[in-house]
Amino acid sequence: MGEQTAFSFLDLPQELKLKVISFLSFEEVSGLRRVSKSLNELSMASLNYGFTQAENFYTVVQREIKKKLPRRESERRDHPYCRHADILSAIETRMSLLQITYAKYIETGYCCFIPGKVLDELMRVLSMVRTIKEPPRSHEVLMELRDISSMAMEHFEEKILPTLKLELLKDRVAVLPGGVTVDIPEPELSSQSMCGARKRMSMSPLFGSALKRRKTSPAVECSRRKFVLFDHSTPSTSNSVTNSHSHSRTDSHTVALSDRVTECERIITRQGDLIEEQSRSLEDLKRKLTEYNHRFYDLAEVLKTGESSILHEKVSALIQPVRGASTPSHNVKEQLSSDLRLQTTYTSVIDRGTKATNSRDSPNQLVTTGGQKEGF
Amino acid sequence: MATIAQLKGWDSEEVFNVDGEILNQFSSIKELFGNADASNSEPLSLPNVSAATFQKVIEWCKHHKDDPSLPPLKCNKAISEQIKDVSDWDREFLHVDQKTLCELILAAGYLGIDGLFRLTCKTVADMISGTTSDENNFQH
Repeated sequence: MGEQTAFSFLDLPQELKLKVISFLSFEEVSGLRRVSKSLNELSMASLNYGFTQAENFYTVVQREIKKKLPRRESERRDHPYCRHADILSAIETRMSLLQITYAKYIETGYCCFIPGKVLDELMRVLSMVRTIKEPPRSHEVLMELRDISSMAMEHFEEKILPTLKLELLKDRVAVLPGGVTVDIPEPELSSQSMCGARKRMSMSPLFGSALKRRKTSPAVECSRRKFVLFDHSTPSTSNSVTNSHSHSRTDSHTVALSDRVTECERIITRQGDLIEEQSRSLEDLKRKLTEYNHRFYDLAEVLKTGESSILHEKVSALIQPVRGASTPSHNVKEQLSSDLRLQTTYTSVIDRGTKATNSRDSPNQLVTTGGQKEGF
Repeated sequence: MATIAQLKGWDSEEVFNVDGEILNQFSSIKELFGNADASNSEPLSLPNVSAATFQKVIEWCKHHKDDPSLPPLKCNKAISEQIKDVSDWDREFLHVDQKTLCELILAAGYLGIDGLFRLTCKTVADMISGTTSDENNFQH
């Protein structure tokens, strides 16, 4: 049937088509974008309009609720509309996040407000806040909105933004003339990007002076190109100057650039792998070190106990005959002092060892002093 | 009811005599006639409305002449919920092919017949929403 009709939906005037589409939910509208180019344009317009509508609706609802709330902060806490205000402030945060994510690209016309379902949810919550007297707690109401909006933003940043940036890059290069004069119209730049441009100029004196002289050497041209390429906030630069050779030049430039980008990416991944490997081996070494420390500590312990027991035996063996005589002989004293010297050298060695391990330091010292006492 | 306006579609010379009750529903063109007696003046040709469509529009208006005026639509997507109850007569009335339906939207939009416009828009929207993108592709 669709093929036979001379007059179909798409032949309707734009405003009527928009009206028809406004009877659909935003989710369905975002699904319509896949149908055809003309419907895509229509749906994009509808979605963008929807986001503006949501913002306006939010302002209306917020004003209404604010009117009902008392002015003083302390009185607000127990007010029946306190929860409404909570929900609204949370919605505001969400909306500003969405705004930050999409607005820049919507303004430049590279994409529309993509997540239709988020708009539906936003509208639902707002109309609920407006109508319901006692809404549930804010996190219950906003859970769905929070989930789907953050999912949408993540998806945008991970999947859509890279391709969008590539497109932007291509457009910039295409717009930029390959000829000698590269005109950067100063008044057309936004204040924010202008700041960035000034900073960059001050960083490269060559670039700044070249701008003044309006004459370019190859190096300057290159640096200027970089500037335009990597400044995403700048709106499109001058379309006025075009050159017949520009297209072929810019094409080759694009190819070279994309080659370099891929090469850089490859290098980055390789280095990332290397770092990972090295950190893994470092971890391994660290583990081994602690293992050896433990083993050293155990060995030192064994050595110490063995030494102290030997000393003890010697001392008791010497004391035994001394007890028979009234005074200890010189011989015994010498023996004792030499053994003591030995003991101290061992303990010092052990001490050094345990200090090196840096673990179980204090109990070790306690044990050594105990051993010395025992020796006496 | 006396005829106070004579209208015709763009594609034929057939003249439709419209009385006050129906003319009142054509919110965008009713002011054209005011209180003047149009019975002896030239019939007015409607640029966006064919004769066959105009016939249908008049049929709808006759059936709905006693309807209360509609509340303004709220600015959100709950619109489709605001006009849930489509009467059997309307459903039968709109049981037409896509071409006629689109022409009805155009006519209703042009003439400013709010009720018919909403109804037809909703019908088309329902047709769109129930299908996958591939089916839509075929339809459009």
